[in-house]
Amino acid sequence: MRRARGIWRALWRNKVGMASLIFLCLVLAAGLFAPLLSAHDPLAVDMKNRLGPCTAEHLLGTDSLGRDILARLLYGARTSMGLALCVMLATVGIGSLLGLAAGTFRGLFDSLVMRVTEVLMSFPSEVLVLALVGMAGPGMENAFWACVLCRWPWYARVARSLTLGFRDMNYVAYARVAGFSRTHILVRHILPCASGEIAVLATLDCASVLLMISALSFLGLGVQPPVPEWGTMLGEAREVMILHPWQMLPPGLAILLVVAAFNFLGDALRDALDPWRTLPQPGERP
Amino acid sequence: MDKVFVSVSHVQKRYARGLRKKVRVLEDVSFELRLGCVTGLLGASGSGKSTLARLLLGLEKPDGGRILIEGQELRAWRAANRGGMAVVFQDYVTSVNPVFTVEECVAEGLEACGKRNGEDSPCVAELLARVGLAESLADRRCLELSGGQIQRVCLARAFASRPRLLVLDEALSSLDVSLQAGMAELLRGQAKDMACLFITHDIQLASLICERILVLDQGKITDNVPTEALFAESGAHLSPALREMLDCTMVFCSRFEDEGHGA
Ligand SMILES: Nc1ncnc2c1ncn2[C@@H]1O[C@H](COP(=O)(O)OP(=O)(O)O)[C@@H](O)[C@H]1O
Ligand SMILES: [Mg+2]
Repeated sequence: MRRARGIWRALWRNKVGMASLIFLCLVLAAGLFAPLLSAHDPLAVDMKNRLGPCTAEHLLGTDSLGRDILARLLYGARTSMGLALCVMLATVGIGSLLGLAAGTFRGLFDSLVMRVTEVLMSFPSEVLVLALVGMAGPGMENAFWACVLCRWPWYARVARSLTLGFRDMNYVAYARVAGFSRTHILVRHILPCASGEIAVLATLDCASVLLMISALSFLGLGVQPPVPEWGTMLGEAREVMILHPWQMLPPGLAILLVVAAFNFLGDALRDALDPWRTLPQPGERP
Repeated sequence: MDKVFVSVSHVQKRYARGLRKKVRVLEDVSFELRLGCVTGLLGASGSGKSTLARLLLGLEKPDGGRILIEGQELRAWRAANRGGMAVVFQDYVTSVNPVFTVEECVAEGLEACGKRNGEDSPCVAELLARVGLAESLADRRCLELSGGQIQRVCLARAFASRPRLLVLDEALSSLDVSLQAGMAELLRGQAKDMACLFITHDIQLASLICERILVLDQGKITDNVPTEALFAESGAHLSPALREMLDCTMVFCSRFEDEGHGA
């Protein structure tokens, strides 16, 4: 509790980090409350009003099928951010659980998990995702699983090496001597210490997952039209890019800002965790 | 008093250095620890004292020989007697979880023997008072304390579970002399029903606290004598390593007396 409050206070002081957090919350809220914020149906085609300009009716204009761009952007926040957060939660969950367990119990389980991660990490992950989605067929679910499958090894390795680092700490040795079980030590000592580092990694990773999902959708492999998604919107805008380049602007900017905000937030989180650093820094003691 | 509690027989330990080379840190170490007796382990720095402590605690496995506690294998005994062992490490910086408060840290020792703070006596505040720490420190973070304070938090945690085997690895080394004397008294008071291995390089402190003295030199136990033997007139049966330690202390003491501080 004390620790959570300390971290929160440190984050509060970081203006860029706080602004990013507020911005991300606003974007998420905009996605959740999209029906309240926009009167337009993001799927309603209006062929008479194609590629329309910004008007009071359509604040950001209309796209090549006459759909309201603002509405699509708002509903797209649901898909893009929702999907990115789900991928992130699944990868962090699977990856760090396996990594922590591997580091704690060692032995055969450890070697098994590590060999699998090595195989998966020996391909560039973008290429692997493309290959997997290509084989399984385009679609939102396949994109989700492909991303999860390609990303969990990174978390597993980080969580494992964190666990091994903490294992050599004397407070873990004391707990072992006192007869506490490995699971108890994992939950009591290692998880709270490792969770900060993993949270930072996860926040930074959200940005790259969002980019990955958008890229897949842009290529037509991820979220399928007509479902609004920023990458899909970008892909559709590309078809009319020569004559109407500004069509790229709304989804492109949305992706840019959200990715930047995730990165800033990750950095701020890292700084906020700093005074609560779990590994003692050399030279800190007299 | 007479019953053997821990028996260490012919224990060896090697560490790999590089790919093929191995260094022997301990070769053929045998001794016994008895309940109600504080045994001192002396030795030069690098002689393998901490390694021996880690073996005795079951943190590492010996390469040869065996360690029995009450006739049982060490790990089996440890699993059957939760909180039965406690330790204070030489390196105190990593001895406390940096995100824990002092109270959480000491409460872990209580928890080891199935107690909770505030349920049974002694409570955390009492344990802290015993090692000379103010109760107001209880909700400070361990990381904010000074080295000597951390070391005393570790002592309080170790005493909290009323261990039967206590290993103190240079546990008083960063305390000032008067605190050391206080801790020595505390230790002797607690020693009734536990076996304690007191590791130090300070022969004066050891002779103050311990009933028996072991000397580790180049991986072997060279002396295993009652403390009184150190002060016997003829030190003929003492090993060269121990005699050198004694001589250096004598030089210090005679200087102390020469300058007019003595009687
Ligand atoms: N984990 C290890 N790996 C390799 N060598 C080690 C390890 N731990 C200790 N040693 C070596 O064992 C010797 C004894 O170390 P230690 O038991 O810490 O001595 P002491 O506590 O008596 O000062 C040293 O030479 C040290 O280099
Ligand atoms: Mg040592």
